[in-house]
Amino acid sequence: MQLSYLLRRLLYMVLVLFIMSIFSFIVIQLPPGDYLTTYIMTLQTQQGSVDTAQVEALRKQYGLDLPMYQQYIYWIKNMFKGDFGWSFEWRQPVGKLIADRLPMTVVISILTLLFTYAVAIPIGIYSATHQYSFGDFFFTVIGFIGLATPSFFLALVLMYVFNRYLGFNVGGLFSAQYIDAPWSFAKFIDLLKHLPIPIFVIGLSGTASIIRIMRGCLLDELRQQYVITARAKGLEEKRLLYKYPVRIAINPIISTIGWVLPGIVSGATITAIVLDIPTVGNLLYTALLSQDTYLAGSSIMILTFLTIVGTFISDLLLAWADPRIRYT
Amino acid sequence: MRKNLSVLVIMLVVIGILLSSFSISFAQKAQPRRYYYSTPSEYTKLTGKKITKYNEAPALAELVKQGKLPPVEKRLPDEPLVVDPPEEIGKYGGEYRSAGFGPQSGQVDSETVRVQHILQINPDLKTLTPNIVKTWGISKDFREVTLILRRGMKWSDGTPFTADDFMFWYEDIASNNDLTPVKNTAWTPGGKMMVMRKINPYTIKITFAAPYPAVDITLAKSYIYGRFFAPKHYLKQYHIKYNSKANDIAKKEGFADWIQCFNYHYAYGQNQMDTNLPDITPWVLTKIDEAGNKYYERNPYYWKVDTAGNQLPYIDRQVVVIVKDAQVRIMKIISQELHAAGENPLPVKEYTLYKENEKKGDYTVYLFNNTRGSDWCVAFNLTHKDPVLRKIFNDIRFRQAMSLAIDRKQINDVLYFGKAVIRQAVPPPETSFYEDWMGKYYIEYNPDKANALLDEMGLKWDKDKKVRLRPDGKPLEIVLECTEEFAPQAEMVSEMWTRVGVKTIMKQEERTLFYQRGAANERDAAAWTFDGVAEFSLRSGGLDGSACRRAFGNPINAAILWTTWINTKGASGEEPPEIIKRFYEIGDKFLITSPKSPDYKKLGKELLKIATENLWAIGTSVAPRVIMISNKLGNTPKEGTFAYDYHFWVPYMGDTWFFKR
Amino acid sequence: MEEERVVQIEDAEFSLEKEELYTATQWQLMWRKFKRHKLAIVGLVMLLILYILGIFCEFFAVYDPAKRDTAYIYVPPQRIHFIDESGKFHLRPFVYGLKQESDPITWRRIYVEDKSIKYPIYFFVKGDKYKLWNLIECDRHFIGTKEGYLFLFGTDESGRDLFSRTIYGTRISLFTGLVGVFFSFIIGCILGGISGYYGGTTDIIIQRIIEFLISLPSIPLWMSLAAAMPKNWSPLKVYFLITIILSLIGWCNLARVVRGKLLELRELDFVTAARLAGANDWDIILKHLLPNFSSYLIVNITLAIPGMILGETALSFLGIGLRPPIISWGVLLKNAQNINTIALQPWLLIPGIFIVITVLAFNFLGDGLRDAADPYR
Repeated sequence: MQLSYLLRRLLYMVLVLFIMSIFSFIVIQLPPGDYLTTYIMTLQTQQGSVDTAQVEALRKQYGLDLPMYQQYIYWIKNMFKGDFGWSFEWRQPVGKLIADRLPMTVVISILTLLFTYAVAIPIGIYSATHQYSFGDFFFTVIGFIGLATPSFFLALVLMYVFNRYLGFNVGGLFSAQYIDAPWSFAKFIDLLKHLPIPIFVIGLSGTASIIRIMRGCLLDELRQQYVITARAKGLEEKRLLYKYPVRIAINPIISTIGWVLPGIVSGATITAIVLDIPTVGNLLYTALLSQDTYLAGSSIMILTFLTIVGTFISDLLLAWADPRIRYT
Repeated sequence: MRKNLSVLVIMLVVIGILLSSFSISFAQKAQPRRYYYSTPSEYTKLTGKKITKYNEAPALAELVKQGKLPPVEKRLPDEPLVVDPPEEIGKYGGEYRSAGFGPQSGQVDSETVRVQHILQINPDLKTLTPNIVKTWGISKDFREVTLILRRGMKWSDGTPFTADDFMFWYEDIASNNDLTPVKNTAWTPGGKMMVMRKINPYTIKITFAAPYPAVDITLAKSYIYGRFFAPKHYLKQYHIKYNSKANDIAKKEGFADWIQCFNYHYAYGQNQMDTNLPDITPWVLTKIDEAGNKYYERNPYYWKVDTAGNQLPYIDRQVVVIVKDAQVRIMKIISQELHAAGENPLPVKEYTLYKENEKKGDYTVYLFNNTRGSDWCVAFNLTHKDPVLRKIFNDIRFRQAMSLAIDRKQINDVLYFGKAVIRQAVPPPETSFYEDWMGKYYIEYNPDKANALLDEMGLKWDKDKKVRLRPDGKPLEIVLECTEEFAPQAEMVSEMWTRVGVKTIMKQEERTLFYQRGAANERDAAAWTFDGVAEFSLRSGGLDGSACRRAFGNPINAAILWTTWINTKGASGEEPPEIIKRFYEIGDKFLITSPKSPDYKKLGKELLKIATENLWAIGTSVAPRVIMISNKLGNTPKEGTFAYDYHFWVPYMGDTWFFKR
Repeated sequence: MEEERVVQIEDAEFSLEKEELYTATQWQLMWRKFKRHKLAIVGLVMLLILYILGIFCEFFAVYDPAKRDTAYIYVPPQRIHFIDESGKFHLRPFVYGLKQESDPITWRRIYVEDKSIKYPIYFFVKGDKYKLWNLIECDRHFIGTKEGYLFLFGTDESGRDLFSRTIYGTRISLFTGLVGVFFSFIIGCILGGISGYYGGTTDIIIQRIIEFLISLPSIPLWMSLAAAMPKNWSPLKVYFLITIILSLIGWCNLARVVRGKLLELRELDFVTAARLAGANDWDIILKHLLPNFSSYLIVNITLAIPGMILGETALSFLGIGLRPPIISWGVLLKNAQNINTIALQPWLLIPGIFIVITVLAFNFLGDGLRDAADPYR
C-alpha cells in the first residue's frame, strides 16, 4: 500500500474527528438548558428557591455563561493538552472518567466482536452448505429470535432467570462483596459469572445479521462457475470451500466490521445501562441526561475514534483480502 | 363541729397525699423512653448508672497496642454523648452496603445513616436533643442562639474540634462571596445574614436580624443547611486568605482557580470527592473507585458511646454501590448484596415482589409512615397566559369540581393495592393544628356534583355532548404535564376529567423540561407530589413546603407570576389578589412564631384552612413507605416515618446498627 | 433440479407442464421458486395475518384498548374451556367468571375461576363502539362474550385487556417502520452505486460522508433530536420525523456494501463489454450490476424493516420513542421492562413474542425472495 494513500486516509480521519467534535458539541447543546438547569432544579426541590443571582453565579463558575463557540474552543484547546474538560456531575476531570472505563469498554467490545464472528461465520458456512437442512432451519430460527429480541429486554429477563434458577446475580461487573476486594480466584470467578450475559446479549443481534450475510454471500459464491469447475475437477469439498468461496464471501463481512463496531458500542450502551456495567457508553448516557457537556462530548469523540479506527482497519483488510479491488 | 373539721382536714391531707403520689407515679410512667444523654454525668444523674470504662473496636484496640492511635479515653471528648441503643448493646464488626443512584445522588441509605446534625431528631420525631453540641440555648426573643461545644472532641484525624471551625465556616466560607455567592435562606431570617461570634474555644453565639423560632429545626438538619462548621486545619491550605499560593495549588491540581479547588475539597456528604477530608461522622470517606463506588471506614475519634461505654459505631465500614438502574438495585437487594433500602420511595406496586423474596433476600419489608400530604397532586396554573383559562382556573367551583371528578378509589386499587389512605393535598394528620375535615375536603367521588358545578359555571356541553365549551366557544381542553414518576395517575385523572367534559391530555416530559415550563409560565396544569409538608417543614423558612405554600413552590408553581411578585417585592411578576397576599402575610408571621406561643396554633390553623379551602393543589392519596432492612442488622427500626422532612434515617440511630450475624 | 428435468423430458404425460415451464415469464418462475421455500410461505402468511390484524385492528380487538376495569387488575390469560365442570362438552367454547382474592401477607392478587358462571364465546359479537379507520362506525367485534369478560392475554396494571392493546399495537408497529426503510433503500442504492462505480473523488467524498454518519452514535443522536423537536407535536409526529431523519442516515450501511460489491464487479468482463457496446453508466449500474447482488439487497431490506421495528422499541425504552397513550409493541414492552413484571405478571411480555414473530416472518420472507429472485439457477 502506498504511503501517500495511508497519509491521505489519516488526514481524512482527523478531518472527520474534527467535524464530529463540532457536531457532537452542537447536538449536546440542542436540548434546552444546560447542566445547571437540572442541577438547580434539584437544588430547588430540596432547599427551596434558588434565585437568579445564584443561578448566574453558578453559571459563571462552571463557565456556562460563555457563548457556545468559546466553550467549544476552550474544550478543543485543552484536548491537545490531554485535558478533556471537567465533568459537572462527577466533579472529576473527564479524562480520568473515560480512562477508567475505557479498558472495560474495549475489552467487552472486542470480546463481543470475537464472539459475534466466531459464532456467526461457522454457522453461516454451515447454513449455506447445508441449505434447507434441519440444521439450517434451526440456526436460522435461533439467529432470528436473537435478532428479534430487544437487547435491553433480553438482558433483564436473563438477569432475572439466572438469579431465580441459578441463584446468582449478574447485575454489574462484580457482586457488591467483591468490588473492593483484592484480586483473588473467587473474585475472578465472580467476574466470569457476570461477563457472559452482557457479551451474549450485545453480540446476539450482530450475530444473526452476520449469519444471514455470510450465508447469503457464500450461497452466491457457491453457485459461481468456478466452484462447479473446481468440484468437477475433483477438488475436495472442504479445501474447495475455504480456499475460494469463503474468502470471497468474507469480503462483505469485513466491510461490516465498520458498522458492527459502532453497533456493538451502541448496543453495549443499552445493555450496560440495564445491567449496570461501567463502560463509556453507560457514561455517555448519564452525561447526556444531565447535559454534562464536556463528558458527553468527549465520550462521543472516543466512541467515534474507536469506530473510525475500526473502519480504517476494515478497509485495509478488505484491500488485502480481495486482490481484485484496486483503488483509482 | 371541731371533730367534723378535723376529720375534713385529715381527709383532705390524705387525699392530697394520695393525689400527689399518684401524680408522681403517673409522671414517672409518662416519662418517655430516653435514647440520648448529652454527657455521662447526665446519664448518671438520670438513671443512677455509671459508665466506668470505655471500650473500642478490636481493630482500633490493635492499632492502640501498636502505638498508632492514642487510647480510647484520649480519643473521646471529655464528655462524650451517651446513647441508649433502641434494642440492645451491639457487637463490633461488619460491612454495611447500600445503593446510590449516581455519583452524587440517591445515597440516602448511607448518607442519612451516617450524617450528624447539631441537634438530634429523636425517634418520636418531636424531641430534639443536643448532638454535636453539649448544650444549647435560645433567647426569649428567639434572636440569639448559644452553642456549647464538647471539650476534647476531635476531627477524624485527631485535630481538636473547636469554635474555630465554626468561625472558619462562618467567616471564610458562608460569608465569602466568592465561595458562597448566594446565602441559604436558613441563614438569613429577616433578610440579613446571621452573625456568628466566638465567645471562647467552646462557645458560639449566633444572632439573627429577626425572631427565628424555627432555628431548632435548622440546627436539627444543620447538615443540609451548610453544616455550620468546616475543618479549618485542613481546608485553609486551599483558601486564598490563609494561603497566598492557593491559586498555584489549584492550577497544579487541574482547577481554574482556588475557588473551584476549594469547593472540590470542601464538598461533604454525598458530594464529597476528597478522601482526605476530615469529618466528625461515625464513618469517613476513604476511597472512591473508578465506578464511583464509595467506601467509608470507621472514625476512631467518633464522640459517642453506648450505655456500656463502647465507643460507637459498631459497624466497621459503609460501602455505597452506585447502581443507576432500578431493576439491578432490586436484584442486588434480593441477592443479599445490600442491607437497607428506603430511598426513592420504593414503589408500593412492587410490594408483592419484595414480600415474596423476603426469605431469599434475608430481609424484612416494613411499612413506614409517609408524611407526604398526598403522593400525587395536581395544580392548575392560576396565572395562565390565556385569560379565558385563567378565569376558569381561578374559579373555586372549577377546582372543586375537578377534585370531585377524581375516582380516588380506582387510583388506590390500581397503584397501591387499595392500601393507601385517600386524602386531600394537605399536611399530614400529625400536624399539631390539623383538623380532620381538612384531609376529607372534597375527596368523595361525585361526578354528578362535579358536573353540576361546571354547569353552574356556565360551561355548556357541545352539541355531541363530548366536551364542554369555554365562554369563548372553543372546546375546553387542557394539557396535564408530568414527569415519568407521576404519569400513571396523571393518565387516569386525565380520563376522569375528560368524562365530565374537561378534555385533558396527559403529557409526560423529562424533568428538565418540566421544570422549565413551570418557571416560564407555560403550563395548564401540572402534577407532582405534595411533599415537604410535615410540621417540621411547615415551620422552617426556605423549603417550598413552608407555611403551607407547597402549591406555589417548585416545581408545582401554581401561580408563578404572583409568587415572583412577592419574592421580588414587586419588581417583577404580577400583583396577586388579596387572598394570596393575606396568605403570605399570615405565613410570614407563622414562620417567626414559636410553637410554644399561643398564637402558633391559631396562625397555623388559619393558614391550613385557607390552603385547604382554596384547593390550590388537589391530592389523591398517601400510601405507606415501603422499607427493606436486612435481617442481619440489629437495632434497626421496625416502624417509623421515612421522610425528607425528618431527613430519612436520621431519627433511627444508624450509628447503633450492628450485624447480629 | 437436474433429476427433475430429466424425468420430465422422458415422461410425455407431463409435456404440458414442461411447456408451461419453458414459456413461463420471469415472474411466474419466481413465484414457483418462491412457493418451494416453505419457511418463506410461512413468513408470508404470518405477515399477511399480522397486517390484516393491524389494518382492521378495531374489529379484531375484543375491547377498546383504553377501557379499564380496576376490578380486574393483572388477570392472567383466561383459559378457554370446551368441557364444563360436570363433564359436559359444549360446541361453543366459554370462559368462567373470575373471583378476585388477595393474599393478606404479600398483597398478591389471585384470581380464581368461578365455576358457577359461564360466559360463552361468540364471533361477530356486539361490543364496544369504535370507528374503523376513524371513518366507519361499527360495534361488531371478531370475537368476544355477550356478558362478562374475555381476557385472552390477560390484563395489565390498570385492568386493560392486553389482547386488544396488542392488536392495536400491531397497526402502529407494523406501519411506522416502512417509511424509513423505503427512503433508506432508495438513497442507499443510488449513492452506493455511484460511489462504487465511479470511484475516484466521488467515491472518496461519499465514503467520508458515510463514515461520518455511521460513526454517529445513534442513541445520543436520537435523544437530542427528540429533545429538539417542537414541543407541541404529538409523539407520533415526532416519531415519524425522527424515523425519516434516521433513514437518511440508515442508508449508509447498504451503500457501503453496494460499493464494496461494485468495486469487485465493475472490473468484470461483462461490464467492460456493456460499456463497449455503448450502454451509459446509469444503465450499467441499474440494469447490469445491481441485479447481480440483488439477493444481498433483498436480505438487507428484510433485515431493515424489523430493524425499524426494533428501533422503535429501543426508543421507547429510552423514553424518547412512542409514549402512552399511543399503543405500540414497544410501548407495551416498556411497561413490562421490570423485574416485578417478569416475576409476577409474565403474560405482559406477550407483545415481545409478536415482535419476534414479525421479525422471523420478515426474514423467512426475505430468504424466500432471495432464492426466488434468481430463478435461472
